Amino acid sequence: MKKPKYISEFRDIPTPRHKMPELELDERQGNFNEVELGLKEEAVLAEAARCLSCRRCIGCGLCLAECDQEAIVYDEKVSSVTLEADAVVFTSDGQVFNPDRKEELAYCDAANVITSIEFERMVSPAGPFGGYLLKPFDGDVPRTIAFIQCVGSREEAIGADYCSTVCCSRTFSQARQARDLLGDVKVTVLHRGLRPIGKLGEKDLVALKEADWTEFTEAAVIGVEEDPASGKLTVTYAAGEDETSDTFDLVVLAVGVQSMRDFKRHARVGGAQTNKFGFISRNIGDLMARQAGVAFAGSITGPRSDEDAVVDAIAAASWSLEGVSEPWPEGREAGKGKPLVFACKYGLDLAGKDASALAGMDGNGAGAEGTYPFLCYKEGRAAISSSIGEASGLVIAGCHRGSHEDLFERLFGLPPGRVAILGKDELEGDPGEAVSSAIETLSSGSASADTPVGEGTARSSTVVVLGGGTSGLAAAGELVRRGADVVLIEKSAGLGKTLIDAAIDAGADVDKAEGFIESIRKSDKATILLSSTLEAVDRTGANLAVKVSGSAGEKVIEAGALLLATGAELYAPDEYPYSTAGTVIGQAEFRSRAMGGDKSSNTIIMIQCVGARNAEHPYCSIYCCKQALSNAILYRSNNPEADITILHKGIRVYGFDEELLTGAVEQGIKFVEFDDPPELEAEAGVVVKVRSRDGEDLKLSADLVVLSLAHSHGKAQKGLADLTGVALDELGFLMSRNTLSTPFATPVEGIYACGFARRPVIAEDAFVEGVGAAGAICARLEI
Amino acid sequence: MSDPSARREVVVVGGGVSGLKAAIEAADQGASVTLVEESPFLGDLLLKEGRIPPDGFPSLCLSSKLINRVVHHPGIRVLTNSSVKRVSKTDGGIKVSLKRWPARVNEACNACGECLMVCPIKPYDRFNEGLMLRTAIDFAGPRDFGGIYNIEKETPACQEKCPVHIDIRKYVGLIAGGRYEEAIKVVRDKNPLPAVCGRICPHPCESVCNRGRQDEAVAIDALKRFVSDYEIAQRQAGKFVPPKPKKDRKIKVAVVGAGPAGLTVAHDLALEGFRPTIFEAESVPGGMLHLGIPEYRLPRDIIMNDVAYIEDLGVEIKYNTPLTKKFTVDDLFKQGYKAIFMGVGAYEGLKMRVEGEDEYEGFLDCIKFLKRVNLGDKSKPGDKVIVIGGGNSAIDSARTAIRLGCDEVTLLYRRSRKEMPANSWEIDAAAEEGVKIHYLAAPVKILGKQGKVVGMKCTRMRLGKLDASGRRRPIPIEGSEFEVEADLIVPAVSQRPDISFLPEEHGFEISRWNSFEVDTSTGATNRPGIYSGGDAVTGPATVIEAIQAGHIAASAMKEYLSQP
Ligand SMILES: Cc1cc2nc3c(=O)[nH]c(=O)nc-3n(C[C@H](O)[C@H](O)[C@H](O)COP(=O)(O)OP(=O)(O)OC[C@H]3O[C@@H](n4cnc5c(N)ncnc54)[C@H](O)[C@@H]3O)c2cc1C
Ligand code: SF4
Ligand code: SF4
Ligand code: SF4
Repeated sequence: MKKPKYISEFRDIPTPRHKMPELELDERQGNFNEVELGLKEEAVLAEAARCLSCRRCIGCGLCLAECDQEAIVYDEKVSSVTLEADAVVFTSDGQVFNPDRKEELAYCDAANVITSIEFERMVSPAGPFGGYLLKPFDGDVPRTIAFIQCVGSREEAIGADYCSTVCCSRTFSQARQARDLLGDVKVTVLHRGLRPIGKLGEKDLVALKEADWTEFTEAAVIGVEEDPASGKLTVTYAAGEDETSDTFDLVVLAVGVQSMRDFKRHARVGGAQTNKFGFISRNIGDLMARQAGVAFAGSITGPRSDEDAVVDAIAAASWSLEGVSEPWPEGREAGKGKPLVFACKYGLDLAGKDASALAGMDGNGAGAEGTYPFLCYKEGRAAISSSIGEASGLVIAGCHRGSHEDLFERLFGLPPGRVAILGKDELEGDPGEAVSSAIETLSSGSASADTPVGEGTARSSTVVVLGGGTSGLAAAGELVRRGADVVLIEKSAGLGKTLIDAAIDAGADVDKAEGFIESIRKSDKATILLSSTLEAVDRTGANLAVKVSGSAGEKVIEAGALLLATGAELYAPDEYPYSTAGTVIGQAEFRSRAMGGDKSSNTIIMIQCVGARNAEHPYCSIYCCKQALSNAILYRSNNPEADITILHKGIRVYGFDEELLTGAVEQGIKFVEFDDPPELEAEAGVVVKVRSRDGEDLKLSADLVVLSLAHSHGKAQKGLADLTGVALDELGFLMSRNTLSTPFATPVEGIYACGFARRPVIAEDAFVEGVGAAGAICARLEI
Repeated sequence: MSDPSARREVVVVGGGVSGLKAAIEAADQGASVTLVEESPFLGDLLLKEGRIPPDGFPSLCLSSKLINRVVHHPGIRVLTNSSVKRVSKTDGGIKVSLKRWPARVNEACNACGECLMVCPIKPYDRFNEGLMLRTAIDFAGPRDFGGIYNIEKETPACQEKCPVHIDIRKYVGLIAGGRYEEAIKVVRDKNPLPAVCGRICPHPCESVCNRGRQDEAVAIDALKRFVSDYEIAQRQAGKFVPPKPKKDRKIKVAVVGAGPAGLTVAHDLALEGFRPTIFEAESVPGGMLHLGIPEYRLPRDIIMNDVAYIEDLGVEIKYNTPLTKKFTVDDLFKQGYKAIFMGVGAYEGLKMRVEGEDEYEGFLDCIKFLKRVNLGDKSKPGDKVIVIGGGNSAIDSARTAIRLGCDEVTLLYRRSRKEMPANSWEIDAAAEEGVKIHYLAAPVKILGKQGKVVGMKCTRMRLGKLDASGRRRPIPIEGSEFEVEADLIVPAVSQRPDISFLPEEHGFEISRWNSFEVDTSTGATNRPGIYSGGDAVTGPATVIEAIQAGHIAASAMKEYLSQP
């Protein structure tokens, strides 16, 4: 916690601090006599009286006297509890960097310098400021806000030379929130290269950069100074060669994520390693070797976003289990009465609707029981509880579809499928209409998306996994371990190339990866169909009839679930004369050359984001910067003289991959940032023309040009969507029912998706996605 | 589907997003889950957030959903206020031992809030990042999310910051009331070297003291010095009875190194009834206190007094008895010592890596230099001395050189004063006493004649343009070279443990900084029964951190030695 600086009280004890008496300067010469002489008794007494006896329970007994319930037990002691477990899951959100450690940022002294976490508390409708954003100095509204990125991250001096990953995106959302709350506000982001996360992160950033109320400046912040009269803050920073100063009302420090002391101990129990920053390693080799019994999730393995933490958690839960036990008994029964309608004000606000939009409902014969500020908070819950009675279901207007249904069902004793949530999309048109149709569906007893289809028929314990890449194999392995029967369908003739490549890239044991694949191949619970494709998906009772064709002809598999793990596809550029063998090649070819010990090229130019982060492909592929840097470093170890230049649009490496970037810079690898894609001079094929971000036109010649080709979900995705009925999101990824709640379930009952087919991921995350999806499927199959 | 009575027992540690979600998932698949959270409330960082991300749902909704699900799940038991003390594998399972902090308000509480109205004590609300006050009795976390009422005997900032968590508020209060004897007991409760620390502790406590908000921090360290000196006077007057150790357990323990870390371990174990023997390489106790820190900051009789107190508890110190390749930890075990603490400090000076460093005579690494002076050689080491570095040992070397009568003492530091790690008051004192300090200056080359150092070529530095990784590196300003004359150069760059005394096959896990790898929560090395701490683990740090490490190791050693 920050030193409490907002509330000035303690004005009652005025004496100044007593100075330590010292030996006179001339008496110090030529001897080693003690310089500090110690305080005299009177000074000591006065000094001790300056202490404010900082606040905590003093055992005065006032509360005890007041408490009718006699609930207060002063002398309660620390107790010990011992748990016997079959498995332990260690998780953490990590801890936040304390900016007191960076004195130049004046966090300690200046009221208007706050951390991003304090910002969160301020704008939280449930927080101490009731959701307003105010300057702590004078309670006034800030008009200019500066965000300082990478506070406590990407800095060797403080022992945190890694990217905290989540802070850039947090800043973007805070900038928007400030704008929404205050209207007239100007936001400046002082950063050292921006790294949005999430598949929509890139689009979000592009839009923010274009807004006229934002300014993004690449800068190294030198210091912050407060004007003691007005509380205004002057931020001095270096952008390019020059030092500049600007004045702001509020400065938000985007504080990084740090490890905690326990991590190391937890790692030992699980036979895992911690890296030099104290986080538990999630190298692909370790992930493959992880056994049931001890699992790790969330920021204990390095800074993780909420979305990643949820994925980790689902995977870790699966790792901790063996088979599935009978579900916990929950008395859930639907009444015969009319479904009830409730509205959440917060949710409606977010959907851009107010409660009056629902007024029409009455006309449709549906009475809204009430609108609550936060329906799932105490008052809302109490209201629903008290009126649920004999209702046969619940319609919630203004929450997120796919997020709270299971919660509401359980809280109010309703069976699955009896809560219909109408979110932003459903309320888009005529909200009244949407409500009445939801009521109708519930009253008629027909199934909502969550109701198991064809109740009564036994569900098959077979799972069809489509795709034998990293996530598909991880899923197959976990499903087999949990006791499911797996049919793995792979369109190519071999299995696991991506997993083995990933293991090589991570410096892990190739044998481990091969062993992992072999164990699936050998398992009598797994059938592998190579050179095969998916033809059709139909329903038979509680199951899916999955039609597959391949070298062995056609086949229909009755399966309890289908997992789509079709992975990523490389972009095939026509803007560059790309070939796998010539002088313009891709990173994969370059990697194999480098691994083979090649050192024949002396000048190499890499071009990043080929086919990515543009209008057709408006997201970052996540993987290519990492790959380019590690390839460049690898090549330099073959040919230390090689002159390598990386042309990029802002290097994106997350977490501990920061090391690659610092390594590359230290090795003298050159970087040029561009806005418009570089061009290759046609006749030569090895001259690259590029305009740098600083506006310089460069003509660079090279022996070899290496393209970082975008990874995408693949062109076949559309066909897959048509076959399975799973909708695609705006970027063409397979849709999740809800990214933070049920990330692997698609909107189609029984069909799941994981890995790059669902969102851009690096290999490690693809693996964890596979395990998570397997866990989610086991929960459905109740094997 | 297996027998429901054979539910799998799963413990989930941590009540943040990932912990909540993992608990729900496992319980939904039929496991019996216990969710353990250290703070009084679930939700961790997520619960604090009011964020509305571009995709996904707002943090508020996510936390309410996850917490409500967990709190109402029949398969999940929640233990808040609980921290994991130890996890160990048993056959076929895992044992998790927890420490539960008392809430001091029990289940009878009906959340009426009456107590909040009367409590006169208003600490800062940690959950709200100190943005507002709460009362000493309060609900932790929003009431709505299963937050519980509890009385927080919240630790004051100073105590929290102090590495050994001395109850500062208490002893300062006692001093204010003139109760010095009780005050020193409170200090001694956590700090076995009070008179030493009262002089040279960098007092991180004062840097967070709330009084500093108003004017200046309370002079906590000076108060500690006063009561420690009071105790020494009492002892010398024979008016002081040292504490009695617990019943003799007749178990021998070896401590290697009589520095603060080793002394603390011996002190703690002696009080517990063990028989510690300290093996010390040098002829004096105190480690760096004696060999590194100069007398003008820490008079030797003060060290001897604090050490005598520890000896009075029954600790034996064998001087001039280093561990060597021939006298190893295995020999100690053979001699019947049941556990060993390695508190050997960090004595190997790192090189500057400057041209000419190994060529000429006239170099004395700061540790060697200070050790020589501190062990009695007060001769003038040279006329003109250059010290390189910006830490406390650089300042100590420079101020020592001045006292030895050197004509000119120059200190070179690569960055600016702001970045200098030495305590600011020490830097001021050095300048006052006549040390010339050059900031943003780096050595380029050592100049020598006839095999002897005659000076150094330096260059001024500035911070350059941002590079691709967003950093500004110090780069030399061209043409800014200047020369400083010197006949002695004292590099004070940094130190690391000198582990050359270990035999080839020592079997310890050693880090790439030559320090001992330990489990930080126990100080245990990878070798059973052998512990380590202090500078030997952290590299050069502070006395109070060495004491902290000593306490941690001593309590783990006690537990280790109590096993049947
Ligand atoms: C110049 C200087 C000034 C400092 N000033 C301050 C200050 O003002 N405030 C502060 O808090 N900290 C200060 N420090 C740091 C502080 O002194 C150390 O952090 C602290 O002493 C570390 O304690 P330790 O017990 O781990 O190691 P040490 O104090 O180094 O003790 C290690 C002991 O082990 C002995 N030993 C080593 N090898 C062997 C062996 N093989 N066999 C037997 N014995 C062996 C050594 O002789 C030594 O006695 C200063 C350090 C230096 C160098
Ligand atoms: S996400 Fe990475 S780049 Fe962005 S502010 Fe955090 S540490 Fe810096
Ligand atoms: S009212 Fe209760 S909680 Fe508050 S200080 Fe008194 S005894 Fe402690
Ligand atoms: S005023 Fe300072 S010394 Fe006193 S209790 Fe508070 S932080 Fe500690």
